[in-house]
Amino acid sequence: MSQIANYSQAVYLLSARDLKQRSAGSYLGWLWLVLQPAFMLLIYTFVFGVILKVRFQTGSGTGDFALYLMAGLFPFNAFREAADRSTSSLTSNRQLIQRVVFPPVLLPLVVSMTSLVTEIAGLAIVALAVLVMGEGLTPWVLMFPLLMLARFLLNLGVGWVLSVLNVFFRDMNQLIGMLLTLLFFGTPIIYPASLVPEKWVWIYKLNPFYHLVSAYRSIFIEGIPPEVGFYIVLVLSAVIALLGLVFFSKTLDRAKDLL
Amino acid sequence: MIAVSASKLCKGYRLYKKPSDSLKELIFRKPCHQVFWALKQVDFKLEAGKTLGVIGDNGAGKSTLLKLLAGTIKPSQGELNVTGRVSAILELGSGFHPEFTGVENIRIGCAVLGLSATEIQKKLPEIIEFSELGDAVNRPVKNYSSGMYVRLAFSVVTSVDPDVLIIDEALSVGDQHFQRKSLERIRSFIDAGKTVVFCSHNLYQIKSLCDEVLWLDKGESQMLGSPEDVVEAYLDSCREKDALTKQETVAKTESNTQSESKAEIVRFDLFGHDGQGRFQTGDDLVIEVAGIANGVPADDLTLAVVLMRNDNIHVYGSSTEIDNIPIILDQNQSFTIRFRLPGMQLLSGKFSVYLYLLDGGGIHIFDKRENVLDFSVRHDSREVGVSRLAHVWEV
Repeated sequence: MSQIANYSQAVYLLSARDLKQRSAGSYLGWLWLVLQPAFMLLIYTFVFGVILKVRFQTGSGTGDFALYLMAGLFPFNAFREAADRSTSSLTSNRQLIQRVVFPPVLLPLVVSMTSLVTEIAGLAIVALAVLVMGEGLTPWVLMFPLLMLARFLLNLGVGWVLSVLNVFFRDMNQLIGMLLTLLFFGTPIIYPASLVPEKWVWIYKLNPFYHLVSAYRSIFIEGIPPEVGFYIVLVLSAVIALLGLVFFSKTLDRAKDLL
Repeated sequence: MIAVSASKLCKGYRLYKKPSDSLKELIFRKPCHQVFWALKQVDFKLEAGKTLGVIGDNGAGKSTLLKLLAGTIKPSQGELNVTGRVSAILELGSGFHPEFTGVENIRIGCAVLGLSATEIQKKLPEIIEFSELGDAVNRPVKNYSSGMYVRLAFSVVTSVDPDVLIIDEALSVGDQHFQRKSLERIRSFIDAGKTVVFCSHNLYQIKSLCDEVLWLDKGESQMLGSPEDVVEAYLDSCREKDALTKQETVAKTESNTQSESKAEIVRFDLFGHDGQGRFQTGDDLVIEVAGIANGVPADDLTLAVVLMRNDNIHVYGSSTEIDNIPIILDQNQSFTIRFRLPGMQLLSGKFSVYLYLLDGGGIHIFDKRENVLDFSVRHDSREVGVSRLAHVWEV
């Protein structure tokens, strides 16, 4: 932890670079931060909302679907992106690890930090959309940093584990893409949780994103406090982050030799 | 105060058939690897403010040692203590991003070395100035020439103020002008009382910068001592290796020059050394050769002396015929000749003598003694080469 304090400026600048890197040299620059999720939203809304006519609440329209969708989609995308990129955070920063006295533990952290910015951009769109199309925001929306924290800690724990595993098994990069797709469809994001068959619900409830996505919808769209499941996830995410850190520090030296 | 101390320092790399075996081993506690020792039982102590040079062939473990000192890898066995803030130049420009400008990369480069935002802000002008990049610092690094790139990298990495500085082959960057500048910066670190460890293939740099030199060979410490001694010992071993590869071709040509011997060399000796075949540059060196003519007239005899360095370089050779020196025989048909080098100007190295007794025309060989009278020479100055040449500086 003392390392993190010493290198706070490095984490900040690397995260900033990480973000800038995507816009560097492109015409639209920072706009892509918003354009990309907007595009995804449009496609999903058209396919699932307009053609398949999925509805989160009986009698509501396509706009309502879009709201529910984005409240789940944007945080999940932030997670998906960070999990995906932290997997290769050690293998792609080989030089930084071997040639500079830079604590590798910070590399997955940088990726997770970056994802906070993309998530905030997404949540801003959600808040705006709720103000324009929905029934307005309630003070419960102010809980959003806590929700982001849970998501961030999950990312961190997962990132620390995956980044090292990827050194040992380079297939991890491929595998994680599939697992994330599985997680995406295994979480009620493009469909309401109410559509999940009764006998499968217990499996769904093992998925932290089941509770997390529901919490986002509660505070943003429904204007109510998150259910108790969220608080369990919050505690759990801290535990996962801690376990991830332990795993990382136990395996790092071995991983370094193989980089 | 001891700044760096290593005792029985070892670094082994575990070799696995596949990377995942390493994890298997961790979980099942069952070893499934072979070990390659990149560094074996290395001992040294370096006092604060001293400079240690590390030399050795490729793959001798130099970089491994420096990485251990820098802390990017951990020792497998043994102990290593480094006191103070360490900064390492292991590879220039690692972590630079091509899409970003010089300034942006300076900021990140410094941050990665552990500097805070205010420290970076303070150092920024100095770094830009030292790099001599001018307005180019605001252009993306991808547009830099490779020289500009290393200049930027070197400026960044030496801008931190470490107690212990570790440098791996970084002193030969950029053009001549910048090379000198970077060397001066290293020297200023040394003068400022920093502890420096560096490795280089430029033995001249090693000699001129270091207080002590460590010679690594196949991961083992071969020699540790004063720059002159270690560098020369290392050079000697290099030359011997070179010579070994050349030897075979030499041997072949020799076998053809066998001759029926009439005149003979009976005795030869070397004078002027310290008793163990060691000379200092400037000593008088005398080679004495005694022979017997066995009926060959004196004017049909030539004695030739050739000095050879142990990497088969012909240093010098001459003969009584070339120098027009008559050989005088006594009543026993014998002769004794001295070949004297007053104030011998050879520089450090190992040498041996080749003696030939030839006919008057210097073509037919009566007798020869090759590779005899081994001697070594040491010089204390920083001159380089085989031999000192008479010269003047005109200013």
